[in-house]
Amino acid sequence: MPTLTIDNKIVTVPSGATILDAAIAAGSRVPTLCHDDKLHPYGACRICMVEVMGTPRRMVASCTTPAANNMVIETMSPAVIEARKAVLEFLLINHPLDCPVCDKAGDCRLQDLVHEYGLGASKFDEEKRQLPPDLSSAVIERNANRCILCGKCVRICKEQNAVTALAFTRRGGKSRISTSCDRPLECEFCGECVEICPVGALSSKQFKHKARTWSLEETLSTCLYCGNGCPIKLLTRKGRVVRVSPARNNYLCARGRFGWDAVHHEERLLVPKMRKDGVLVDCTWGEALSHIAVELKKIKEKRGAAAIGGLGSIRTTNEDNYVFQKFMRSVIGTNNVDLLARLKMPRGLNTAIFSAELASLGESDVILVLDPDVAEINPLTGIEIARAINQKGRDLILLNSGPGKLNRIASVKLKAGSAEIALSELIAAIGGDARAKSEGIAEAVSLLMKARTISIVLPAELSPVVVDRAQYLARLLGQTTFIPLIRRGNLQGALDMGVLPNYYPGYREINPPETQGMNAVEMLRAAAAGTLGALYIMGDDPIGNSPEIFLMLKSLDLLVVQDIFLTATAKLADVVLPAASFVEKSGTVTNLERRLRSLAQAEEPLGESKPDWMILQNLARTMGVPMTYASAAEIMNEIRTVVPAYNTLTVGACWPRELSPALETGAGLSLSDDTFLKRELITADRLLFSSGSMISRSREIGTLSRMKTAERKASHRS
Amino acid sequence: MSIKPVAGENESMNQMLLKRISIPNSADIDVAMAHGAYASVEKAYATRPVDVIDEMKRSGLRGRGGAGFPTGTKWSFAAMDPKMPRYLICNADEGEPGTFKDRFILEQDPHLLIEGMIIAAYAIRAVRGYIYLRGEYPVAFGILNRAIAKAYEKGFLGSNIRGKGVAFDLSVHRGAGAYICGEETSLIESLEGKRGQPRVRPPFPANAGAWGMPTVVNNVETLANVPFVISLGSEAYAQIGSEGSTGTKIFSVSGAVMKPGGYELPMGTTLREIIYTHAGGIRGGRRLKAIIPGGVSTPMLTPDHLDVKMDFNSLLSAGSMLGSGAVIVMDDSTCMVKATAVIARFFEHESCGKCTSCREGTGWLSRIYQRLVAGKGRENDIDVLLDICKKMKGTCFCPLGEGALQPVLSSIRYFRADYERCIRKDGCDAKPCKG
Repeated sequence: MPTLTIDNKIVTVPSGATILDAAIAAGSRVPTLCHDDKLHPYGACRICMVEVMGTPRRMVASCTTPAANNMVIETMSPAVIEARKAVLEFLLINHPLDCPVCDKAGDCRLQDLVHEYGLGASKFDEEKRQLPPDLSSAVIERNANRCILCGKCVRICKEQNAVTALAFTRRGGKSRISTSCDRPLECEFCGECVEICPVGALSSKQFKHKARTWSLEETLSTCLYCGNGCPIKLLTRKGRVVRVSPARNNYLCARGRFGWDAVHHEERLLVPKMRKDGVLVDCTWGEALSHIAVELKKIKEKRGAAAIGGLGSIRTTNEDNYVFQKFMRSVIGTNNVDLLARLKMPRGLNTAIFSAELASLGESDVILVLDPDVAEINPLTGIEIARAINQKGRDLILLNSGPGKLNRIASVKLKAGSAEIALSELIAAIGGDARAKSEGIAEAVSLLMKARTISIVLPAELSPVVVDRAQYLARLLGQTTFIPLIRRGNLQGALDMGVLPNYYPGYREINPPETQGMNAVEMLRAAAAGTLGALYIMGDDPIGNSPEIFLMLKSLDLLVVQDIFLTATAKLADVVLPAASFVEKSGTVTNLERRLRSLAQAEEPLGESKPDWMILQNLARTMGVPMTYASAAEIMNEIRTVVPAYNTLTVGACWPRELSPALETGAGLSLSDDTFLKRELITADRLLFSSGSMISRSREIGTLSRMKTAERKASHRS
Repeated sequence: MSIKPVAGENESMNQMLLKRISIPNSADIDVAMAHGAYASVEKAYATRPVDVIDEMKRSGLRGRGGAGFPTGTKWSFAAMDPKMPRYLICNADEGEPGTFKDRFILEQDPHLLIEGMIIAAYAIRAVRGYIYLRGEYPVAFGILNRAIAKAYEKGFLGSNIRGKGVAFDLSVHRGAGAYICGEETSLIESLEGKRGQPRVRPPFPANAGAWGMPTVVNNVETLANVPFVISLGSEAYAQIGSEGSTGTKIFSVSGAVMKPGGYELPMGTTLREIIYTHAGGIRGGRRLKAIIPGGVSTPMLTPDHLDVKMDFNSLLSAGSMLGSGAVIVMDDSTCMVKATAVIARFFEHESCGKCTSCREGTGWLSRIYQRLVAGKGRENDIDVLLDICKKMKGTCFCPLGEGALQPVLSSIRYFRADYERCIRKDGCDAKPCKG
């Protein structure tokens, strides 16, 4: 624990800390360009120079020099100021002063530093380097002239994302950051490089010339594209989102960063629609809601509440889902409420095995990944794995590694036919059975036996056998945590909210069993058989995912669809209600770690669209049942009293699994034991750039998706 | 095709490193062994590794690559780190312009180097060694590979050297033509298959070098001295040379001398003796104008410095450095602006591009020099050059950038008149500027 003096302040820092760490601890501000806490120290830009007093005094880069006992450091001595000015003057030799047309202006580290250090005229009077920009990528522009070669993009791409699409090429003053053989950028297009670039060398095409950074307003929210539920910043100009960035110290994938543009798609539903003479036509909210109220009452009177069913959504908030099940249960009077997404839930997956936070990946000595597509399904989980390997030196055991990015950083590649085989062989080998083993088993066992802590990333397609074996292996190894893969946004939250036919909110089992409702499959089958009269679908598109469902739903007396687009399912509906998108409402969601995240409204709802809960509340009122929530926050207050796990849960925290006894008893929450449509529903979102009714309407992701498809075809041909 | 450098004749009794190269077929293991090669291995093996390190410390041997770090101390750092395996790397990336000393050993007495590496590996308990060879030394590549194969045959390399239970494997890795890879951390990066760029230090290679393991990187000439420390004994070895610089040094003398070549002389030999006694004086009856004493990254000296002793401390006092011992001699026909322009272009070309100061500074310096020699000098060019040097000083990531300043600063310091004439376009007293 060295103690040193920085700018006349005495600080003690942990051993291994750099002078920069110590300076921050002492409250001194040392500028940096190539340094980032997320990355290995690099020491290239030289802007963080400080002066170590003594004889002789010496200048050191604070980001790479360890703090030592009794050091006396000055961070703003005249020599330091001179050195920083020198570095800035050097950087401006080739940097074009095109700030007026640079999207980074106002948010540019170089611009700020030049301003702060008051650099006047440079002595540089030679020709500037001129390099052509690379505009060929669908979403990311690279302008080599603006590049200051800090290498942050190269390092984040490698160290954090394990993609390694960018590298330094050439040498010396000719150095640039480029791709393999200077081909167009070919990567996951997560845009982390754009985010970390301190200047305007890497920029987002989506944001190009959209707004000056200082005119942007920031709203903290949450991305709903997958179960990771990453915190995001919605950056708006004049009440309209123009850019999405990860919230502080978080990351985003291509879907999260660029896919939000779907909310501005021209096909957004703006007004309610009703079927008149067989055709869907625009109508008023009053007309739509009255029609639904009248029809629902009619069906309820004639055939009973059990003839009405509702499908909730994993794309909406906890509040929407809570009000949805409440509407079905207390206004309609049925437990026929479920999530179609349960069909896509891994077979046999029981939420009881959710036990870890993603950060625990970095704390595990060994990470056993049983699904090579992990980084496409849950990109953040992929990033946490890559960071654990690249930055903390953990070992990765990867099952059936294909060409995927984790392949390159795996310590052991298990060539077993399936997760089931791999687990069986690992268990046998640990038990001393040396018979026929797949490649890599012996190495994997030796790593696993040495490890003190282990994380197992379960496959997205999870069978009961795999769960059993994984749990058995965990018992053999001890100190094991499981990480699940969850494809879709708010699955956990919707389950917690009781959008289930057999549980009330908070997994309170419905008794007696006869009073439980139909599950999603039973509802669809009942619809096909004519025993279900009405189906209310909030934020889901079963027909879009599986066109066969069209035949099952077409005989319904009443189909109500509440969505942000006129989906394939909505086209069949009798009434279509326009819902507000995720940027237009507030609320909470719960991610795959059981962590509560919040959404905040950044835009006014488009057209006449409304948040889902508000639509349901208005419908309840139309049906003569008073519902008086004034805001999503008010709904959350009620949820806290009903769902024990949410009682004191704060945003950003995970709810403790012990609080749901139903989970401990091993209640099955998956429907996919049923063979019903499993194949179709699963294949729909295999890939990073294609899935769901919203992402498919993102122009940016659409471009990437087409590009990837073309590449795949080309590689098949060759 | 390669032009073979000439090893200058030297009757001095102290000639050690180049002793065998005058013997025909000196690279042949039998010839070399008949003349004493590998004799020190068994002597070293008779003592403990720590004794070898102590012997090295007592000998006062300092690194011959340029920095002059005490070799025994360097070894002891790696030997103290408990991590295994440890690596021994021979830095044979002889890239400092004007330097060709290692080439004699690599091409004509490879067994001397291998012998030194066997002992060094024993001292630090390394079981794997690499010779990182300059890519532009294709002849040495073949010779080294043959020599290594022969050393394996004779049992000097392998898993059980000479039946003593010591293991050491050795192979040659060719560089790809980057000056920066002579810097040890860049060399390690390159050896690992990465882009040649210096690493953040600490950790130092002694603790986290190749593949994160304790690693010693020694220059060819340094390792070639090791057998002599062992065979002569540290006390006798330390008698050679001068205060603080023991042993001999191979000086690569080039430029405007009668007899350019490699001269092995005791440390502390004066520049005058090297240039006038051994290299035959200045060519064509011209006057001596400037001397670069240790390769282009060391400050230039003038005829006033002829009596400076060529050793680590004396050259530091004279405002320069021993560097690699590459003595580049320039006569009065040399335009110092033009000479420095060549050097500036070299550093611009060889800067790895990692740190701002070196990448941009060397480029800026070179651009001004190219303009100067093109006859487009400006009034304030000298001031700007000095200003750039001031800005680069102390702010570069590794010694390359610092080295790039030395020829600029020293040539302006001693030959400012050349610059002024160049800028005034008066023509030099040397040659008219063709620019």
